[in-house]
Amino acid sequence: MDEVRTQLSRSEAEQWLAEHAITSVRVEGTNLDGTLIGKNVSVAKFLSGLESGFAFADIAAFGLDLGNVAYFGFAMPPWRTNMGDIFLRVDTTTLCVWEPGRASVIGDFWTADGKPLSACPRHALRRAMTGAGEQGYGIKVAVEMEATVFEESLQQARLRGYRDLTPLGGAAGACYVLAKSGDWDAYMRAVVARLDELAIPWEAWNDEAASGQVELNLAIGDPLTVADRWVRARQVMREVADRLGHSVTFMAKWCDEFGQASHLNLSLERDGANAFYAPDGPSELMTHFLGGVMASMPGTTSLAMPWITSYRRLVDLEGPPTTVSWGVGNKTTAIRAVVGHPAYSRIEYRVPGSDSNVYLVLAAVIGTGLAGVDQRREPPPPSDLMAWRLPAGAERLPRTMTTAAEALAGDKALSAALGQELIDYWIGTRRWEWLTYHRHGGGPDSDLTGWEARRYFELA
Amino acid sequence: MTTSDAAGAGTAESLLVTAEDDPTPLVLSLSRTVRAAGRRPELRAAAATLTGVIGVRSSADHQSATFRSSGGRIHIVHGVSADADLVIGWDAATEFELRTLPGQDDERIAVLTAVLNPPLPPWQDAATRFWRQTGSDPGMPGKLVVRCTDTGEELALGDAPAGVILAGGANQLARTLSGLGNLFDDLYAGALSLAGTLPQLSVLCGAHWKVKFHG
Repeated sequence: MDEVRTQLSRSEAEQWLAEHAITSVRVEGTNLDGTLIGKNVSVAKFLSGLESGFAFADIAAFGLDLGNVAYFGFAMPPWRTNMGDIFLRVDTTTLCVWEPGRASVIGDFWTADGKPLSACPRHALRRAMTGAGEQGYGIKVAVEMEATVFEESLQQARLRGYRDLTPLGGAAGACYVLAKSGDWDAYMRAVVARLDELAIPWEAWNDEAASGQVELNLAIGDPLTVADRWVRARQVMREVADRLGHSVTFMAKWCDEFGQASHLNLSLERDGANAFYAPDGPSELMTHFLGGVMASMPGTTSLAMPWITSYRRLVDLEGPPTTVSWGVGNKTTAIRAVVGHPAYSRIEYRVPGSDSNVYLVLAAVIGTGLAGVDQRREPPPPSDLMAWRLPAGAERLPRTMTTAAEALAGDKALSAALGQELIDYWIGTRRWEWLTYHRHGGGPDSDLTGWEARRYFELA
Repeated sequence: MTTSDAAGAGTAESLLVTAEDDPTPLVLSLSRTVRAAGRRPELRAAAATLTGVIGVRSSADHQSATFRSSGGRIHIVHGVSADADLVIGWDAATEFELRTLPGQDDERIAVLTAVLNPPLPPWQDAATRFWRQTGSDPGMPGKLVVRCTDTGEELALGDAPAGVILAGGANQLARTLSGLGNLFDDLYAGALSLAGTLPQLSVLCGAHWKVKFHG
């Protein structure tokens, strides 16, 4: 199917819609929690809202938790009023045919008085990219997506409270196993077929470590394009699961098996060449970028691990990083540095869970990395050890939502990168989540709770 | 979110109240309550007599905590410790009415009941203290008018020309402004009323939590 690649005027959009026999358009945006939200509008309404944007109630778009209760308990930014409107202005470069008769377009949220909405993660990522451009750098990223697919339909999963489900493809095996049952293979083939239809380039998919777990790797691109593809790919994986009578979750952990991540691969380029490349290790630029990212890693963890369940993934010796660490070719550290290759030199940021908001985490990593470049910040020494179960003294990633939020609150580089309003809004909503969990979910020592399953299975 | 009540945050020479790192909301709330009790000499003296390991478990949900007390030091952690020598139920709705089992006659129950239920101050004092602790926080309205619906009396806090009005009965105002209960729930249930905006409600909820957990 066709995808638009340049901004369209009203007349060009009208012509495009007519040529593709579009009768409705789904206008979409990602909120701070990483949820894809939107409206289906008629062609006439779409054309009339091209410049003005599409109204959303502020509280409904950015003010409800995943349990459909309003977030309270913090100072609201000026754009939060008595359920006033904010506006989604579409980016017509993302316009595509989602299915016959229906188009899809992604946008950014703006305030009623025409300012970028401070809590809009797509704006935050755009700002980070602008910052890189002003320093003369382009950015390339790639996203790894992990999810778990189940034999049961979403309706069946709901009836069971999202517990005691049957992982698709069986419980036997380890990772990269090809001897999966046909239903598992059929699901992923259907997913990538839809991605192909939508012109979302992908590189690979495979069996991941836990039962029913899949990994899908999206192709490299600029951050905004890749983040848009990420949110659409998640939607595709959900829609395909539903069509085939299955269900899928991006919870960081849905049972006691291995959790699931969303690793981000990132490099800077200058004049079309990979600026992280040096023949004998990280380039000086990459070193300073690492210095900035490492310095803010505890605070960024709040963004990379947004939910109560996210922290259940941090188990030593189970794959995810647990320490503030980096190393060359070391996948036990929080950042794996890939060095010495003219094209592939990059950082692999391994902290984010599959439940994280890629727009937001990319903005944080890019922003703090660029701050490191600006300050010529040196990272701590690389680790060539196994970065789990280290003796006392090794700095660990924050282990809870509260401690991660505290680290974020004290991180000036992240405030500068994302804006204080976004940081304050985020911390306020995380405190709400923490309180809600303790009132209705469980305690620090609880095993995965039904509250978490009901809250995160479909929306995280 | 904060990890307040760090070691050394005592309320008097004879009573030191500490909480675990990264405390739960219940641990924070219990710590604040014991500290509030410690501001009254008779309760401070009573609290200083507590000894042993006492668990408290909510009768309505999963929340629980343990007091480790000795020599005027009380350390509060989440969960009921396996070595607790006394476990008592408590009522989440009342914060913190204890519910003993038949036959439970440990003399520490009476002490803990008193310490966890210090007398409420007059609503005016609670409001003044609430405002002193939160009035200058980001987003707070420049003026808070507390109106007692029992008497019609009003107390204006802050000197901005306009602000919000929080109204309720004297006892309810004293409870809420002392950090008991949940401001939003009390509004939702109609026990309190508010003339203010949604953003002002939000920041007042946060102010209430600040008093509840760190006051």
